[in-house]
Amino acid sequence: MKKLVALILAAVLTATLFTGCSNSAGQNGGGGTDDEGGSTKFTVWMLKNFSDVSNQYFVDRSEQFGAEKGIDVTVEMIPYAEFLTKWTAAIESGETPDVTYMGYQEAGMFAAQGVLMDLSDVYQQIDEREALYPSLRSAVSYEGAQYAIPYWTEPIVLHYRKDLLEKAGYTEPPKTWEEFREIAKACNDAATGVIGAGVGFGKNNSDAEWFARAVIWSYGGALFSEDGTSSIVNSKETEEAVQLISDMFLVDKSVAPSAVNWDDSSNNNAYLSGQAAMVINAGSIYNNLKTSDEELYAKTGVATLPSGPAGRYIPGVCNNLAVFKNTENAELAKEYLLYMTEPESYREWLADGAPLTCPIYESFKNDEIWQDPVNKAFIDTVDSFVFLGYKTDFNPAAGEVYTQRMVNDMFQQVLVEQTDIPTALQNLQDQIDAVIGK
Amino acid sequence: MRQGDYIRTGSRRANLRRLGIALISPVVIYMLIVMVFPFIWALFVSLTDKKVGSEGAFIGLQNYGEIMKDPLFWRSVLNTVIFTAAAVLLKVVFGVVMALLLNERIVFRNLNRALLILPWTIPTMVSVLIWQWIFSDISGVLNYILLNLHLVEERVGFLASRSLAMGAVVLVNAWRGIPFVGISVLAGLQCIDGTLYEAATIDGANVLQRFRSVTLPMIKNVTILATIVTTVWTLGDFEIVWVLTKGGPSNGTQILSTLSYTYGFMNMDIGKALAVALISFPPLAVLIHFTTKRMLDQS
Repeated sequence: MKKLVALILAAVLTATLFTGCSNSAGQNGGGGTDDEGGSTKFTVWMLKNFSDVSNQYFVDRSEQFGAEKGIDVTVEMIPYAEFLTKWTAAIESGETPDVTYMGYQEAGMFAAQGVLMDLSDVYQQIDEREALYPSLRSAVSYEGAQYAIPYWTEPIVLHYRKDLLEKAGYTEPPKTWEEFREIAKACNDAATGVIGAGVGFGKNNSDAEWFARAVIWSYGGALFSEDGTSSIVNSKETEEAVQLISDMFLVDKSVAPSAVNWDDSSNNNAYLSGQAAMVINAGSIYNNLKTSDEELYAKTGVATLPSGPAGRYIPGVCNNLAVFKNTENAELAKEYLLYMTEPESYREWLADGAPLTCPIYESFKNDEIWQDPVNKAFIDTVDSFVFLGYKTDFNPAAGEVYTQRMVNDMFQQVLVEQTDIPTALQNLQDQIDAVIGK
Repeated sequence: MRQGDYIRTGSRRANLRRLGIALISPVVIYMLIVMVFPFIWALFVSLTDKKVGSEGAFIGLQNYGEIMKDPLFWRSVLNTVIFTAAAVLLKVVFGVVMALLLNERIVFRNLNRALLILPWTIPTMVSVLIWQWIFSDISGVLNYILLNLHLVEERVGFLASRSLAMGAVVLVNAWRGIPFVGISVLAGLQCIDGTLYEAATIDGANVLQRFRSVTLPMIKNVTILATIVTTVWTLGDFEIVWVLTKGGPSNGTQILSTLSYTYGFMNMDIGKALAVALISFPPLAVLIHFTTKRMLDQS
């Protein structure tokens, strides 16, 4: 009997090791009225970006909304890597924030799961007040309705070191991915510790997912068929693109030795510490350089992503605000969205974050700030955004493939296990087909 | 005995019984709320197809079946065994050595004892981030030292291959766990009666013989107990592996806890995540059973 009791105790303790964490989530979420009958609590989860000024402006503006409405607004600034865990925990515990930042890839996925509020009416009002980029609608739509409000776009561009390229004999940034490989190889210098291409394929790296798609698409490959009913990733075109990247890693060795373990901050760190000749990233690096390193800032050039045999493809990064269905403050949340996208104050917020934060309103591209050559290089790409799901429209399956980092996993098979490319692509295709078939 | 005495004795027993129940009930209620109910909930959800945000329908053992057929699960099992065995071995060997050293009359003994505990007192997240910086090939201190000492010609990707990454996570786990074994064994060493050594010396035992015949038997129990406890902790470790490698590269450090997290939080498949967690429960239960049994026996 004593043994039985001890065994049961052991069993329960063991299970608790794994299950205990499930009840601790969502402590910071939740809106509604506080228990003492005081003012309404309104919670916002916002992406913490690299501009403190921009972050603070967002907080101040939100608090201003709270003051005007007589409610208590709390803004929690959260790094991107932590969002998925927080959303998951919040949804399961029912303690969701009233408004949350959400990439369109996640918004599509959550919309399909039925946990997001239909914001089509708010989208319509915002669009009528000031015209949004038409292309953004498809990124936040699911079955014809809009489940998130675009808040800013993040063009991905090539950042390069003018001095290092010149030293290697190049006066212009690469125009094609082949040139990108060539210049990376030429700039790579083990003696000085300079990496030719600051790209990585860590397990959870989101930058890598965008970079890989840019190359694959520009070689004529795609993850999804035109009707979106199957994956066509295992193709000659994709194979060429993967081969190019694989050669940079395994043949040229023009990347960092531990690039297969890089996370989203690694390429920023490599460039900001002067150890990368070229990186592909959103404007966070440029924003950081402006204030932290004038010398490196002067040596930095920005260019549109290189093109491939099938043309130039810019993966569209659209960041949004979304509302969970179970919020107690649905109407306030909608008012908040209208308030935060009010064109004049929104314009000020954008200015603080430029060129990382590009506008959702098409007419803003004519503003003076976006005529600056560097900022222009960023904003000019918004018109040609291609969203996840290409060759079809963005869809939840495309969001899920992105969120699960399936393309990264394929590259890890090729780069770490040195699986042959067609086999790795077939594995990826099977995985994507499984997601589509759900 | 008179009838009244029987009644009084019976009533006293009943009172004692009620008192016993009253005293034990907070613990029982705590166990029910914090342990039993979550366990039953986890078991039930693992039998459903629950995804984040959905209710989930009962699917019996389907999750378990799918997991058993998944090569990634078996790779995770193997990685878990390698990770745990290697880390525990390092912790026990170095923990015992450290305890033996700190039990001797060495200079700055108290300072050294305090330093022994240091890795254990630093929050896991902080220490793992420091190790991440040490291993980094971008401004990482280890590569800097190796390059400047001309021990390597180019930077080493310590987290770039499966074997090196596994070695790195084992090293960090061992570094954090050695103090626990060290302190436990040191406590055992402090309890050894000095006269035993004197008697052995009089009998002509040399240092090695004294160690084998006196020290080892006296610290055996505490070492076994510390080993079992640290094995359970290592099996359940998550933070070190997740922060350093996220289970990569190419699932080279994917262990059961990170796989469960990946299923639950990345893939949003709660049912499968809990099935992975519960499938690894029998060996852990046996270990905890032995630990508690040993503790009860000793007490």
